[in-house]
Amino acid sequence: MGLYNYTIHQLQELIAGKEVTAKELLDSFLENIENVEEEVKAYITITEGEARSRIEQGLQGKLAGIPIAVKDNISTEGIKTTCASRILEDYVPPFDATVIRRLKEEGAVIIGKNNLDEFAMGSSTENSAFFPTRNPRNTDYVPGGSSGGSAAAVAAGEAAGALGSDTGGSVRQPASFCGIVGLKPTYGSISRYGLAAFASSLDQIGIFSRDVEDTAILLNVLTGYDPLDSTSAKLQHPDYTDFLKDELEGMKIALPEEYFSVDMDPEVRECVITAVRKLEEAGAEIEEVRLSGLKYALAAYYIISSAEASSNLARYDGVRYGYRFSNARGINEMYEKSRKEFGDEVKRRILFGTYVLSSGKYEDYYLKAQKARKQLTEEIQNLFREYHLLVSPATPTTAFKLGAVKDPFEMDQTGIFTVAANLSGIPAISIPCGVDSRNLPVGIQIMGPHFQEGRLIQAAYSLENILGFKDPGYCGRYCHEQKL
Amino acid sequence: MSMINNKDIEYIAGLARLDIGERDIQLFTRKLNTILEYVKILDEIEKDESLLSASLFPAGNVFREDELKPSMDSEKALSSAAEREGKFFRVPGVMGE
Repeated sequence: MGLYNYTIHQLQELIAGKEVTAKELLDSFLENIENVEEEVKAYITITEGEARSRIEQGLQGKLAGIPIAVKDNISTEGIKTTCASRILEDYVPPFDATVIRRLKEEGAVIIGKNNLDEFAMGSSTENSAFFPTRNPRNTDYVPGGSSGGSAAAVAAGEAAGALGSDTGGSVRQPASFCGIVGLKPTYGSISRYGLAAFASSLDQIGIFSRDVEDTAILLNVLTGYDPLDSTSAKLQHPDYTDFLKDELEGMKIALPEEYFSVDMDPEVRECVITAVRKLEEAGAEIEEVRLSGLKYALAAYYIISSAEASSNLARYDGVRYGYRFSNARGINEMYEKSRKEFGDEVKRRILFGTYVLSSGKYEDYYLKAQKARKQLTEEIQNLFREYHLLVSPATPTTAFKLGAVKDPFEMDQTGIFTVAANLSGIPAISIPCGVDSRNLPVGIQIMGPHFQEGRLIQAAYSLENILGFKDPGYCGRYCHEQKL
Repeated sequence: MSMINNKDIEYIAGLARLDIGERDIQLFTRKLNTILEYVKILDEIEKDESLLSASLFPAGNVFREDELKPSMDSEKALSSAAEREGKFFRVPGVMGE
């Protein structure tokens, strides 16, 4: 087994014991990238040069020498950050996002920038302006999205861990499709400074890893107050590795009925229910509950996220950075022709967002969506007065084939189980809980109260141990012939 | 909640400073109507002003002291500009279009 197949905690031990050097580690990952990247296409930019020069300077910290991949909507100083858009195709940011600074301070090595749906809008990574990414479990299938490149990089052993962003499920859905762990922390746990904004009240930077222990390790490095992000929480985060314990006794878990009664793949339902039974056998108390506000969640999400996007994306005007149409006769023509470079999906959301915020429509759409959001949040908070966690499938289906879902709106329906956590700001994690008959991974989602990531980690870690599901690594086009 | 037509799309595109071209006007009219059809489910929710003053997040408004602090060097900030003049971003004429 190549070093590229190890978890971060295993690699930390090897580095600490001086059994491998950071250079050997990087070489192993780069060699694997060389072998699989042509088929997977997880990266827009591979930063071999920067990675090598960082290692030469000598690295120290909790993540010394660990190669981490970063979604290409997170700002990296001196490294192209494109958001998979023609608008930012040549943009080289003059600053690092706070998460990048934190990773570097702990000695991590940024190995490259991952493909995504343009400006994180989409659910399959087919909506990148450059090329689609493929699912390493079976390359006929999509890796999910929008952080599909980051999920694929970790699943294919092209990085030890990765950063993504999650506005409506963009970390948990691809993690589920690729059979790895994906965490969307509480809104405010991780600084968003340097994340290209899509919908500011929903966006959160998230973590991809091979197992739950790695999630806890990365969470320790990434969380914390940042004066550069006024929405980051002023709070002392615990050591999340303290929650890596096999203990479910007395844990009260609610299963919201609405998450299991919608139109979904029966194999996914079966797989998740089986995992839930195992949680019960291990001592957790399981009860079915109602979450009636869930039926409005996707509609509310659509309105709020598009409204915020229409405002956030106004900054791409050709003035300070990004593409500028060069033969404009006046400033308005420059704006309009420069912004023409957005892809159709981005334009659709800007138009819809502008519409719902326009005079006379605001009360009908935006205000109602906010009301639905508030009611859902209160309903969820009430459930957490009685239960420690909520559990559901991460997605209604497993991965679909490239090109199989043509309509982006139809594709967005896959977010039905994930958007509630963004609307209410709570943390949620997806971990693999099995495979379907095509051998494609199924993810189970665990949600907890605000800033209770530790509790999520404890439950996810326990379940991971019970299920004994281990990362099978990259299997390429012939995945379905291998047993996961 | 109503449906929208090509004229509405042209108007919204103007507000968003987005050149969508003749070809795409119909495409986006159709696409937006699909979403509007879907979000009709929110018709069930009563419309009132109760939310205008309510904050969704526990943190509420975050204030800071208005102190002078160093910020990004102007050369750095200008480094990605399509056109500049001295310490300024240069743009096409704003007046007299």
